[in-house]
Amino acid sequence: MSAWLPRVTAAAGCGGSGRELARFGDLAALDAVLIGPIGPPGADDAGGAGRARARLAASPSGLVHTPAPALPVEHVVEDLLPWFRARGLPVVCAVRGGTAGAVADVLQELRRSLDFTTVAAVEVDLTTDREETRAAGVLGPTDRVGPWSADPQACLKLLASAREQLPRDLLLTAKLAGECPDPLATSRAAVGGGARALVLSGSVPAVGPPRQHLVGPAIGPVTLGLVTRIRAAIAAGRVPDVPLVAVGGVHDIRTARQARATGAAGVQLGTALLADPQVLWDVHQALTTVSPPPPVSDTTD
Amino acid sequence: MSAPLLHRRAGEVVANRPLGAYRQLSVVLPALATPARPGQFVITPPARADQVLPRTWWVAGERTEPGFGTTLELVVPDPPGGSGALPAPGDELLLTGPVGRGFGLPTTPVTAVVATQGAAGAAGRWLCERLRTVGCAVHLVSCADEPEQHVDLVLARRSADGVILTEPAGAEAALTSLTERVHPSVLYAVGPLSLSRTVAEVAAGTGAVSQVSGVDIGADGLCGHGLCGACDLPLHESAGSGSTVRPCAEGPVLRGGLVDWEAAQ
Ligand code: FES
Repeated sequence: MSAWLPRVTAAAGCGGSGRELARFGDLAALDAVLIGPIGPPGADDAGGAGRARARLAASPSGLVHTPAPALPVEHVVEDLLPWFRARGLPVVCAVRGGTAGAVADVLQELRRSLDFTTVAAVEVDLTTDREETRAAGVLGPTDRVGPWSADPQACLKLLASAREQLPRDLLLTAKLAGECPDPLATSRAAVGGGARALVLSGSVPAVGPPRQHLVGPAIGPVTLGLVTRIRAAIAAGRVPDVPLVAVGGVHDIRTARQARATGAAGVQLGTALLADPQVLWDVHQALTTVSPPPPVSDTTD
Repeated sequence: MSAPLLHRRAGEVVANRPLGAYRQLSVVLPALATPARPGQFVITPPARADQVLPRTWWVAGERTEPGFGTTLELVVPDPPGGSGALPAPGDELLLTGPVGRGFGLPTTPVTAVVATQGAAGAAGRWLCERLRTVGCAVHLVSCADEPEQHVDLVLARRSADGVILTEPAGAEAALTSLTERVHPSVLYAVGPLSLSRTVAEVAAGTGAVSQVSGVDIGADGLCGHGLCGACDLPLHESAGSGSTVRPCAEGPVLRGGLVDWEAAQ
């Protein structure tokens, strides 16, 4: 289990298009830059957030937010990937879609790009709402049927179809969060479908309009709980052995180290960057100088 | 990547005094390499440890003295519960900025209108001063819900050739009649999006150009760093279908005519 994995990136939706971060530090100093969420061509993305602007509301030690606007894949292909490739910066593409077809379309567009060589990993979002096509003539064309992560079978198919679109050796990861009713089953399904790492987020559904989530330091313990659980399941052989990435409540060097000690090989920073983008470089520096995460056998149930 | 990196720096608060309904903070930083300009803002960490989002404030003035440093003037709302959440003289204040490209000044002396609202009035007043130094005739339209919320009217009257006070709901009528009277070549807005939209529309109606703030600096729910997407605005179709701008990173000053205000709600 020595797959390459960036030690720290921004969380999808908290790093802008990746380029904005270049105003605050040297991107080349990082393992990779995450861009996303990347949505299907056209205005509307999965979950119907479209290009609507994100809404953030403060909550004690956290933030309640609507889903970040998706970057249209054509913008990523035309503007962003060339920019990153020209600078030799490896990119993680975080992809979001309501159907396996929508995700496959995005991946195809990315793959067709001449600059695809700069893509080092693809993260598929299982926290977003899945859509099902309705019988013709009934109300709208699609129906939201809850998050992908609530249906392990659907996750397996989604990852398998994503895997097919990508070069065999490209790292494919799946992200699930606090909305997932059975993280073990969903993790198994995601890895069964072809994910080679799991991104575990403590983000939890919150009050207000649908699809609002609570993030920030307040959910740190939820993230660590999820990592601990999946680590234990890996140790018990109930989930295949893949590296884990912790996101949600990782907001400084101390919490990043805590996530590593809990068994995460990598971390993503979200709201911490909104307050101070410099934290990305600080955490990278700190994680570069510590030992790798403990082997699975060290994890107790 | 030739632009210097934006880094948080420690400044020292040298004054915190009342200014009508607001507080004026003076902060000394190491000398800025390029002078600040109206329309720029600063980002400062949250006031309390249990808060996640930083605060954003318009820069309301700047003075750089060689060998001493740069003093930034910041006019900020008096926080609820007194000024406790604001730093006191002698305190350190962490700041990123001044951020953004600020307002462009005309290259020839023309007539200009500056519209402001609330605490942004201090940045608006500074813009008036700058416009006057390049020879422009300047009319200030100051919008506020309550009379005492107009920023520093004594100084404002000295910085502009004419000052009109109105409630926000009356901004459009005030701007329309003013433009009919003085025929400005350029209209500026510094304040909330509703004001930016009004100014952009009045300017479009008279064929004048407009430069407006594309993000309501000082409002809640912003990161100011260009990372969260909360300030995104849609552009007109001519810029390409579905194009948006991220004002806190690409502005905050935008050409009013580029934004699709209808789609922005
Ligand atoms: S306020 Fe966060 S991107 Fe502009």
